[in-house]
Amino acid sequence: MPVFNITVYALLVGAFWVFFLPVEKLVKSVVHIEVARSAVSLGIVLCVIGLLVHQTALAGMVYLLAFALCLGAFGLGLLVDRKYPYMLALVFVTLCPVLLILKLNRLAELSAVLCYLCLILGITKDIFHTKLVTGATHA
Amino acid sequence: MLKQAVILCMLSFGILTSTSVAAQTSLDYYKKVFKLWGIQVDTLAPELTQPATATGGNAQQPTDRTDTNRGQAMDGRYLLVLASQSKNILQAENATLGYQNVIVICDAGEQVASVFGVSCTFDKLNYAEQNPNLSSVADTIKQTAWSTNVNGVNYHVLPQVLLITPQYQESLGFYYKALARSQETAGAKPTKVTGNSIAQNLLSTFKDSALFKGTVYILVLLVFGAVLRQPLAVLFHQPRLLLHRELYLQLAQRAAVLVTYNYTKLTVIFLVLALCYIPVFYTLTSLAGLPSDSGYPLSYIAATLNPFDTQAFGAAQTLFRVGLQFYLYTLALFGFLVILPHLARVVTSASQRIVHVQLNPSFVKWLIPSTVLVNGLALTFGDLQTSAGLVLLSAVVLVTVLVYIQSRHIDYAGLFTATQRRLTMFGLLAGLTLTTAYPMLQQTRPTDYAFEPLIGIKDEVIVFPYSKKWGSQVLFEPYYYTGPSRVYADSYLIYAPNTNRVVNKPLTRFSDAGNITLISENPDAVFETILKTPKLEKYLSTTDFSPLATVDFAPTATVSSPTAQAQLSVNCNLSPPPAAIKLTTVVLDRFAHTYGTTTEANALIDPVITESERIMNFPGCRAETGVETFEIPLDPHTLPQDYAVLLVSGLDPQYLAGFKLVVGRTELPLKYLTKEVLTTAKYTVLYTSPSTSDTLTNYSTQVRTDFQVELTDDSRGYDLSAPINALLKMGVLSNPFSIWTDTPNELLQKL
Repeated sequence: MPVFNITVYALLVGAFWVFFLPVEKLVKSVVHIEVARSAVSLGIVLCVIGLLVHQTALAGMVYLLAFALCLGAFGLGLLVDRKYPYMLALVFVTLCPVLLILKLNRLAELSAVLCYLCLILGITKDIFHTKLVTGATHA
Repeated sequence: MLKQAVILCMLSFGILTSTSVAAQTSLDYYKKVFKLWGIQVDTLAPELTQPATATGGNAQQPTDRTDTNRGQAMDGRYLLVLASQSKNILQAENATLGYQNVIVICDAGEQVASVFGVSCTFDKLNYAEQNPNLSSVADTIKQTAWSTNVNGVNYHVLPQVLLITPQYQESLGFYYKALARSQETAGAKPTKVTGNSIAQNLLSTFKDSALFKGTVYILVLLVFGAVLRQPLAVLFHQPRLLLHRELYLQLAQRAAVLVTYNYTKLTVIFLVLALCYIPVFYTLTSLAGLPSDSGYPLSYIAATLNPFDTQAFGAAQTLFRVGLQFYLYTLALFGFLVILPHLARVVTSASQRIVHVQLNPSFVKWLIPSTVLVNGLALTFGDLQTSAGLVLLSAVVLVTVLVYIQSRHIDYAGLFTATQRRLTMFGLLAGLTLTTAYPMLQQTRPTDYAFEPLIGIKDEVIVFPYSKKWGSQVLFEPYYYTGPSRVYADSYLIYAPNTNRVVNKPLTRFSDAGNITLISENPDAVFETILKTPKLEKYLSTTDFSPLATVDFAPTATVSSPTAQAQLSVNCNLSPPPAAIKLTTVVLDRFAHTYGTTTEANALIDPVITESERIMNFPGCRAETGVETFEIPLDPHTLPQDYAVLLVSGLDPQYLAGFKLVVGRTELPLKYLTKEVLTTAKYTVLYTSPSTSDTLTNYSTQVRTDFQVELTDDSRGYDLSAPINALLKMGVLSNPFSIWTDTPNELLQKL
């Protein structure tokens, strides 16, 4: 599938160039039309999404929604007070032995994974928050 | 509301009496059919068929009689008996005492005139020789089902064919459903029964009652009226307002306010319902008798959640499960209502935080080009399957960042210095060049294969078949075989002893010249080839009975024949379960055969026409019956008029003992084909020539292109890797592929 791969990458590079280079001046001088660069870039990225969704027979749409949800949740996790992820991790880790005593092993496993994710989120926030967000402190 | 919910919940769990699963016999099947039609039937104990001395000569009572209704007149209930059951006259007469309605199913042509004063001979119509699709037959069925009164007992004498032929069964069902409704309308005398029976009867009749339908209609009207009250008022007074989003926001807010206002009540109901989980777990564990298996209640609950199974639970009268399902959904609904305000608050708060976040310009600056570049590398060195997820994730990130930059009015290009700009442009250009050039470079370069052992594992004993997984650009080191069997790689024959050359060809190009062998994994392809090349038939035919056969309908002119009949013999010694028997006919599509399917326009046409029809509802049979033959009427118009492949399916072939097809008065000559053709899970050798010669041709359903192997073995044996490597390069082997021999479980290697 090299042609498809090349097309997708070319479109992504094109989206960047449209956004990065003063394309609107060129277009205006040639066809005298005002062009919103960000809208064109966005349109190209949406074209890429459309191509992938078509190629993956709508399975891509499920991926897309899941990624959007995960990204939003991750963003929220980075922005909330740092105590919340750690407190949630504490709750889940406390729940683990209780569930194990009740012999609900699957739920205990789920609880352990959730605890692990909360810890990862907390640590990621501690390390990267100040670098990613302007004016952020270790809240 | 809380009180009502608790009472409803308790009621649901109060109904714990569920009918246990009984052995599946024809009588059980018929009982189930009548119950589905709304006829409450009881059956006789199996011991009734035993001689009187065996049971002490005592009259047997119907098995379904409970302590509560024993000895009372069986108003509204039916006794269901098989003609073959009533061999003991005394017992049969006693058993019917108290019943005003008796249904006699005449199985195997048994005469019961001496027992009940009614006969199984039918002078009205011989159903087995009629076209079941004729509407006049349906009318006659209603006449047959009409009861005969003998000594104050209504006897419904039904030939078995009416219950096993789907069309007849449907027509009969119309009559009995109407009968059940009429009895409900007439009303039965109230009897003193237990609380559970009341609940069961109420539940079983409520669904068909006018009250239920009226309640549903009123509920739907109420819901629609409540939801659409404002839009309808607006539509009537100010239709333009319907285009304003404030109207819809107001509607959503109203629902939110309702939930918020009643939040405390909702929480209390949810907590009470959640507490009910304790008795539910206890009940499930005690019912199953598995106190040590803590996972059982969870798996039971998970299996109960499927809403599409409600009808099945109802039909099986597992009312506890219906109640549990209702409870679980109620709990989920209240849980959702309790969580909803919190969830809405979190989503609103999260959206506001994310919308107002100020990202570091340096992070935003490099995020876009680095994302694009990573995608470039993934698309260059990976295929779409592996990189689609990454590209979609990147697309979400890019859309988010672009929207962020646009909303903050950031001069994106201004974030870069001149050197950074040049570097970025160069990096992306290099990526684009690499993405374009790398696949072309790969194509021109000779493939650098890696070699690995064909038999990788070092177990002491390895037997065929052997499954081999392979990586890309991998070939196998020589592996020498010295065994006596023919060796196959997937559907390709790669070695045959005492032969100099092996040629693999698609089965569609079958020719019986020379020495041949036939293998298959795809019955449809075999059917198609048989229809196109009838001479293949003789290599697959068998003298034993098989559910697969060929028949030429053309000389019998099925359309002009008024009747057609299938005669199916079932071996009851193995106690076959009830099943829906289907007759599948496969004929060649004349258009596709004439014009071919190789052109683009004709490629969509299926070269064969496959028709499948349920011909019989097999009720199961008891072991003592031996081989039982069922005569099933068929509609001659549904039969093909050409050379066809026939397949009887629905019941495991081991239970089938014979199958005949009679059109008019002529029995069609069926040519049975070996059952091996129907194998789909693995490759099967269907035929192999007895003699040996220089060249052996292997015809297979899975072979697409010809493949020839020259068999030259040295002192070490024959190198199996050589043809396998050639097949790998052709790209025709699956991953993993199977190496197998015509001798099952042959020893492959012993270290």
